[in-house]
Amino acid sequence: MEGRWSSVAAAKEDCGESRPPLEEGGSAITAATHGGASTRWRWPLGEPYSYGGTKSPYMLKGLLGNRSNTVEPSHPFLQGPLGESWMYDGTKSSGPLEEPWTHGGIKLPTHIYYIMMNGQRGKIELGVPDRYLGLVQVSGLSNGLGRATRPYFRKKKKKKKKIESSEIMLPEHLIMPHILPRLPINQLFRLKLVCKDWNQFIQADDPHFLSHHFHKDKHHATVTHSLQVQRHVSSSDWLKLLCMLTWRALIGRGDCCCDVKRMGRKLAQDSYEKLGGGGSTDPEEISGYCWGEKMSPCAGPVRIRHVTVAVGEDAHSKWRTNGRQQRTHPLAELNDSEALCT
Amino acid sequence: MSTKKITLLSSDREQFIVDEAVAIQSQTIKNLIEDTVPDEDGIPLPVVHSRILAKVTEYLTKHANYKPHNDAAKEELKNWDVKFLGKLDNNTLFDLILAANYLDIKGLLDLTCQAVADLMKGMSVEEVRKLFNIENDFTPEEEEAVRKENQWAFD
Repeated sequence: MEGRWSSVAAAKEDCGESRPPLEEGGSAITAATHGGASTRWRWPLGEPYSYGGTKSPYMLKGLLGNRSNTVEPSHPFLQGPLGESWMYDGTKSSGPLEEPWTHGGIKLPTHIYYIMMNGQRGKIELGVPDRYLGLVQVSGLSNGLGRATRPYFRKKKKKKKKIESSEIMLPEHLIMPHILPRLPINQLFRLKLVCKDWNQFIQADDPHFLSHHFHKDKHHATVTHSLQVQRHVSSSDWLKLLCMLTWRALIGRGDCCCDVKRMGRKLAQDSYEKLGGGGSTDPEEISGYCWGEKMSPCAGPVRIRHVTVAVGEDAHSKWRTNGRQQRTHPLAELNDSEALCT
Repeated sequence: MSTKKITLLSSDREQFIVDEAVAIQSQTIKNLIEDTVPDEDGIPLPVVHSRILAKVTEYLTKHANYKPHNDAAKEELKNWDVKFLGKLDNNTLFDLILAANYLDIKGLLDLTCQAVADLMKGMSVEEVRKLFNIENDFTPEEEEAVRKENQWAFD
């Protein structure tokens, strides 16, 4: 019995996920291989399977990429080139198998045998690969026996890069002022979770930090507003003003947005209190951030240099009730609302 | 044309001979030239390995010889920077940041820090910790509190 079979066999390594069974080309084989009782048969790991009564050096373990040692007993383990099927124990299989196999209209070389995991861990099936994933090439020996050696088809590379731990530690005094301010604001605040030091460094209400970010954040639009503070504004007025400025700034950029997210509000309040709120009538310089729903990922910092505010009761209610009216709101008079995008 | 040559000595005692104009882009080297009597072998830079110093001098040479006058030239220099960064792995990049900081080369520090920031963009918290070898010192409760406080950033 000098069947020169199986110079190459292939096993689908990735058996964790279920996938549809064989496509057209493999249907005949599937039919054949599915016939008969199917009690699980466990192949002893590391035990060479026999071929024609002779023990072969060809380890099932290797064939299956060390993943499993279970085969369906009814499945022909390997198929001879003349259409004979060989069971794992070396006996001929009864099921007729079409020869040569085709897959997608392409004839597959008869000396290549594909052993597939049919979706279930530990179950192999003879068939035609529907996806060339994790196939194992068995180096051919003259007696047709081989050992699984290397992937027959290269595995598709996973797109996501694995981030390797760096060996070099960057000192914090470099990471914080030089690198962090270059990140988009949303991600920056997510990174507060990295560790306590970072949490402390990334502060929404720290004007110094914000102005730092303002200078470094070159990738995002910077909007400049020049407004003049003329009279005392309360914290809530300030808040509204900032919301409005934000809105106008975004409009100026051509992005339609009239919603300032929570962070913007809180920040506005904080920076108002920190930066000379509570009755200052002088023009002041205030940095703040804003972004809106349609901005991605953030509109960048808005620097408000001079603010002109005229507070009126009517204005308040109007503001509250109709956000869309912000543009013409008398709360503030913008003497220079040009939005500069850099 | 005779230009003064400066010999830089890396931490593993490898010599790098560069033009003075190239070397003094580094404020640290400039100060060293002015203030100290050079070693016989050259100016010692004990914290910069030759592997990194080679990169630094590559960057400095390009930027010294290349004074962009027009947009096309600026564009070319930018492309060169991108190519320069593209060849680096993370560890080299971090080493370069350390070297740029030590040698006080603003352009290189900006370039490399921006590269790290670009690398970090879109990374999760866990990935960033891994990148910088930072250990999470939050308790689960504290972490949850910080997360809640900054919920807007996670939306």
